[in-house]
Amino acid sequence: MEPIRVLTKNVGKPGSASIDTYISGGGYESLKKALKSTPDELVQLVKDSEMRGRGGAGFPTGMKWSFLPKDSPKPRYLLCNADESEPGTFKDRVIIEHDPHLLIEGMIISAFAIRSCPMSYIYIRGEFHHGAMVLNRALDEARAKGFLGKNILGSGFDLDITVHRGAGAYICGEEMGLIESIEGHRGQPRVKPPFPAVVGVFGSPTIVNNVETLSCVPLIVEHGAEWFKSFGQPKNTGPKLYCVSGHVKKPGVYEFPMGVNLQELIYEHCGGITDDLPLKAVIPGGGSAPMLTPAEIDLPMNFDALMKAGTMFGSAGIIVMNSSTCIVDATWRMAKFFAHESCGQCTPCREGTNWMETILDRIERGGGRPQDADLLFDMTDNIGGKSLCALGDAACGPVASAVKKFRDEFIYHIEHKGCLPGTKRYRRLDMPVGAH
Amino acid sequence: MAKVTIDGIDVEVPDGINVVEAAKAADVHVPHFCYHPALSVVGQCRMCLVEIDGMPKLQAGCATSVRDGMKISVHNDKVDKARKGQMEFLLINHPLDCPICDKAGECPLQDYSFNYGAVASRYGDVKRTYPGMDRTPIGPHVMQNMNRCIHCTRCIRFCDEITGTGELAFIKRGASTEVGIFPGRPVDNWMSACVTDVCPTGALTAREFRFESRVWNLESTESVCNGCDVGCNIFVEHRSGKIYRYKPRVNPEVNDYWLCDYGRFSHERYETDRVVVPRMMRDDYQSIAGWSEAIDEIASRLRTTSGDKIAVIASSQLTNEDAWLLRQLFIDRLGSKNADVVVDDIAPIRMKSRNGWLEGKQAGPNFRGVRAAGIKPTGGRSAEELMTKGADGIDVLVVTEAAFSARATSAEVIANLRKARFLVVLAWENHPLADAADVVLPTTIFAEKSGTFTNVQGRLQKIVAGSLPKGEALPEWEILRRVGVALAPDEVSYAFSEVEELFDQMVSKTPALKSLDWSGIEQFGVTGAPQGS
Ligand SMILES: Cc1cc2nc3c(=O)[nH]c(=O)nc-3n(C[C@H](O)[C@H](O)[C@H](O)COP(=O)(O)O)c2cc1C
Ligand code: SF4
Ligand code: SF4
Ligand code: SF4
Ligand code: FES
Repeated sequence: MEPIRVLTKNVGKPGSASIDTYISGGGYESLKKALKSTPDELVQLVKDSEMRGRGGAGFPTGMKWSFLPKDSPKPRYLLCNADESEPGTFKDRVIIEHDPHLLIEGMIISAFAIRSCPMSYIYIRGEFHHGAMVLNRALDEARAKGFLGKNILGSGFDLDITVHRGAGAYICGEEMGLIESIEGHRGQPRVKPPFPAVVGVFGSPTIVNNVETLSCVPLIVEHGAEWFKSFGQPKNTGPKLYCVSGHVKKPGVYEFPMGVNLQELIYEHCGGITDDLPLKAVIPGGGSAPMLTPAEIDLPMNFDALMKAGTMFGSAGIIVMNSSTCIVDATWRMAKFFAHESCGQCTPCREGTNWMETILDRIERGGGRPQDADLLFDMTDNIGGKSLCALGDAACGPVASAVKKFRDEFIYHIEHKGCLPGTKRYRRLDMPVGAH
Repeated sequence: MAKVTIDGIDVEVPDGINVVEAAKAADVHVPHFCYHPALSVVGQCRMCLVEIDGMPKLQAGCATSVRDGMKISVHNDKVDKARKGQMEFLLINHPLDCPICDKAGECPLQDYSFNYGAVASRYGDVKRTYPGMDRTPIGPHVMQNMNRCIHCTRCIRFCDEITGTGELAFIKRGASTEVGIFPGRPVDNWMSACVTDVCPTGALTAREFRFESRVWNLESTESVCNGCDVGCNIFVEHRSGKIYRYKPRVNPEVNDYWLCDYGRFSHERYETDRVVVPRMMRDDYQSIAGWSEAIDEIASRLRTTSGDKIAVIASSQLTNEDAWLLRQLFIDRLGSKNADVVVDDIAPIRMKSRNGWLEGKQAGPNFRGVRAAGIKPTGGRSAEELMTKGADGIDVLVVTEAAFSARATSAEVIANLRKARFLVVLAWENHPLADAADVVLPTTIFAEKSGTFTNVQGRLQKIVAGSLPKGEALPEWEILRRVGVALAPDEVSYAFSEVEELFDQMVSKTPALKSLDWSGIEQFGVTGAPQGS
């Protein structure tokens, strides 16, 4: 499969973030087209495209939009999720920094389609300081050109967009955590139901969509649903950004149609494994996704295929580990992330993620106990599916898969109080525990 | 209504209620920590997980509304395993210091650990602690031990949603999450100690009750707070004649789950020098007297005067039964024209019932009931006149409680009342007004007697004698009955021995209360009782 330049068609052009570059490449034409159709037609168009959300859960976008209650007198909100904090994920950043107008155009069309109230928000992670500046500059440009503001292009539709910077919490990327954070509260998810489409931000019906999802919308409007479906497989359609990191020779963001073969991606497009060592494990969909072994990676990168393989497509953040990796250390690193990012409100995640991290750290330091592997695995059963939000499940993905698939290495580590020969840890154990 | 099946039991419940509530209809208890019927649903503790047919994942019972046809398993292997898992998580970092914890014995965490806790811990690492937060006064009444907290946020939600004062919040995140106050902003609202009731662990305890008693060593009696005219429902918790605390008794119509701090700690007023025997003034000096001696003296004084020279100052602490007998004896029989009831005003106390806020503005529980019983001057002198202008010309003045008003300690008021030729004072505590009396009679406090109060809503509520009377103290109605018997030995209406019989007499003569019988006073009281003003 050959790489494509659809979502990334402006990336790399000089001044790609400016509105002039964007317009000269045909930008904002989709908006004009969209404003001539009705919101319902647009929702139907997105439904027909079979696009699934790019934020991680892969929920069909058109269907999500149609869940908004028809008869609510309350204003509706569109929120763009630009919190991009999933480990190994850096695709939204490319769009935000290099083609912000694609996102903005997508948001205006989507807001029109869902009959949004005149204010929309981009929730961007606090660390994306540069990205927030780029977006604000782009928003100013769009306002100046009349793409934002009152009566956009004479359509009678009003919209402005506010960039809201987060303060550094992964959990604020979870849609309910994001909503609480925008409201000015502590970023901790609310229990569902009610779902955001019914009671979201400021008590109103709300749609939360990922940056990449919204950026696909102008393309769908421009080229049509059939064109969109021509990328990928049934129910797994469209162009897609893949983030590849770890032990590959050419890490980076790649664009392919949905369903590129994972093995091909790693070995052909990313130049294979560093130091030409054998592959050990791949996390295919961001830090939350269960690990795959080398024998399992000959599969198309899409939602359904990865689900079938017992892992998940998630944010398409592919983390590659070669044979030098101590799997206990790698698993600890993921567990540490989730323990640190747990909001702390629900029992299994608050206590369980911390306990998992403690055990993994202890094993890594040579203090493993014979029962630890089973204990870890059983604990993932007490967390997974039991937590208030999906962060608890996310934390179990790497741990459960590593303990199951690399059990022998865990046992070796516990019995020999050290790494399997030929593997090493990539952190210093004398680092203070709180540091990361 | 929705038909649902809970652990195989078919029940019909109102649409839309959650699984925890619905299961009650099937007499199945869904373990829960964070859910509280009067607070918002947050689904945080995950203790209430249940399995619902057709749903792949276990669901939080508190956050799941029932639908017609739902089949719910509160107990099966899968659910029990999950619940044990949550219990394990809650306990790994808990200090397990029940032996020195005041909550022990009434602690949901302790109770559930009997059902779902493991005997041996799988946790072999260092417990998380919150250094410096293990015995922290976070308000005038509340002590925090963060190590015992299970992060259920009930206390936070209480301050956010009930008092609206918002003193408590989650601080930090993950396993370091703590419940705390903002610097310099203690939990100091008028209902602050309620956080110690809603807290399902010993993380928050009432400073006044700490280390006072093991809860299982206390007797608990249903009663009504006598702090103000809201009449919050309480349990008086006592042992050997000492009251250790009041706990709220749920009454959705009045106080729901709550008590105000003033009322909650108002039992401290009874930790005082009680009057335990009758006393009579002899040669300018009060000395111990026998009951019959004292009653005979009062009766002979009453017999030798006329109604316009008999005065009564009743307290708003009298029960309806006391007041009814008082009227019958002093106004109907003796023709007193100078009977009155006094209550002090207080700064309004707000109390949240399920249907909205109530406001208490009177310092006693039953001014309205006493007034409605007919205790009011008829052409004679009011209590105000007696207190300010003096009781000159009054032959017998009976005060039913020395502390009927805060003003009763003032030298001027005492001197004015003392102008009556013969002053009878009923008292439970040593009091300057009692010291000035010709006869002092020891009375029980409300926790030592039974009867009814009528609150601000016109709701008749029962108090039940629990705590043992001090010394020879008698309830006011019994004292009045004895005076009645001394005056009219053959009168049948004085021939009773239990307050229930007096209640029956009262009801039979009070049209608004007709058909009520003592045991028929419902748990939440009876509305529509007559109210005087
Ligand atoms: C712990 C957690 C973190 C998440 N972080 C992000 C994120 O950073 N960006 C994002 O777009 N979605 C994130 N999500 C997914 C969102 O909850 C939500 O599903 C998504 O924004 C919906 O957008 P989509 O329908 O366009 O995919 C996260 C979910 C969880 C449970
Ligand atoms: S699963 Fe974790 S992040 Fe999500 S609500 Fe629970 S504690 Fe917070
Ligand atoms: S202090 Fe008590 S009520 Fe508050 S969160 Fe902790 S356990 Fe819950
Ligand atoms: S509001 Fe009144 S009745 Fe209720 S607890 Fe307070 S003082 Fe007692
Ligand atoms: S009671 Fe349902 S989650 Fe706490």
